[in-house]
Amino acid sequence: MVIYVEDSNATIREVLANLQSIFSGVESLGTAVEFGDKVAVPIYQFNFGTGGGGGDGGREGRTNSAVAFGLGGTIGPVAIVILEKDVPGPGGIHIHEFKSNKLGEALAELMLRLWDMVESQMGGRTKLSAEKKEKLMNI
Amino acid sequence: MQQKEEAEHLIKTCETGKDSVAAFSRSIDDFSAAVEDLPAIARPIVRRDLSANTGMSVDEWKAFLERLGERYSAIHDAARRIAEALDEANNGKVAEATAALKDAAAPLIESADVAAEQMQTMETYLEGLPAKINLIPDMFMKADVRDGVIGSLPGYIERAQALKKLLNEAKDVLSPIVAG
Repeated sequence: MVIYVEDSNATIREVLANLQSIFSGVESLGTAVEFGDKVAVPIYQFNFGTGGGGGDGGREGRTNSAVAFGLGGTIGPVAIVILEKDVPGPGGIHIHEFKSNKLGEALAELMLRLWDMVESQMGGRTKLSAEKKEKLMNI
Repeated sequence: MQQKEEAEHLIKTCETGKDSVAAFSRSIDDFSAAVEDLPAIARPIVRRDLSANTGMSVDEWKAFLERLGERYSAIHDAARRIAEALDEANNGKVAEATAALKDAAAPLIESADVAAEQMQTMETYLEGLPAKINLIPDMFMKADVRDGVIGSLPGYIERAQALKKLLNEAKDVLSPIVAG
C-alpha cells in the first residue's frame, strides 16, 4: 500500500478526507495538527455501554424499591498517524500505536478500504473467470 | 513393447508431477505461514493481494493443488495397472486399465492449459513480490523477516515453473493415449 504524500496542502486534505470517511464507524480521526513538515492525526476509539438494574428491600411495612439506569463511555486515543509532507511513499507515513489489538483491526480495515479505492482507480485486474476456476477446482 | 514404454514413461511423469505438486504445496504453506507471522494490519492486505493478482485465495490454491496431486495419483495408478497387465499379457486387463486411464486422464487433459496458465500467473505474481515487499514500511516488517521472505521467493518461482512445465508435458503424453 502506497500513499503518496507530497508537499501540498490539497493532497494532505484529500488524504485526511479519505481517512476520515474510511474510519467512519470503525474508529475516528481527531483533528489534524500540522507542525513544520509533518501532520499528526490522532485516531480515537469510542466505547459506549449502557446498563440498568433494580431491586426491592426494606422491612415489613416500610419497603423500598429502586431502579437505576446508567450510560457510560470512554474515548481514548489508540494511535497517532504522522504524515511527512516531503517524503513520498510509505516512508512518509508513521503510525504510532497505543493499543496494539484494536489498532491492528482498525488499520487492517482502513488499508483494505484504501486498497479498494486504489484498485477502483487503477481499473480492474485480470480476473480468473468462474469457468476457469471451476476447471482448476475439478482438475 | 511401445505400449509398455508409454506406460512406464507416464508413470515417471506422474511421479515427477506428484513431487512437483507437493513441492509447490509446501511453498504455499510456507507463504501462508509467513503471512500469519505478519502484523495484523498487513495480513489481510497480503491475502487480498494474492487473490487479486492470481484470482485465487491461499485456500483455493491449496484446494487446487490437492486436486491436482490426486489427479496425478489416479493417472499414476491407472498407468501402473496397464504396465502390470502388459507384463501378464492379459489383453482384457489391459483394455480395462486403459479405459480407467482415459477416465482418470480426461479432467487433466481438459484443464491442463488453464492450470499451466494459472501457474504462469502465479510465477508472474511471485516475480513481482520482492518490489511489493520492499514497499512495506519497516515498522510492519523486520529486516530479517523481509530478507527471509524475499530470499525464499526464487525457490517458489522455480517450483511454479517446474509444475507448469510438467502440466504441459503430462498433457502431451496423455493426449495420444486418451485419443488412441
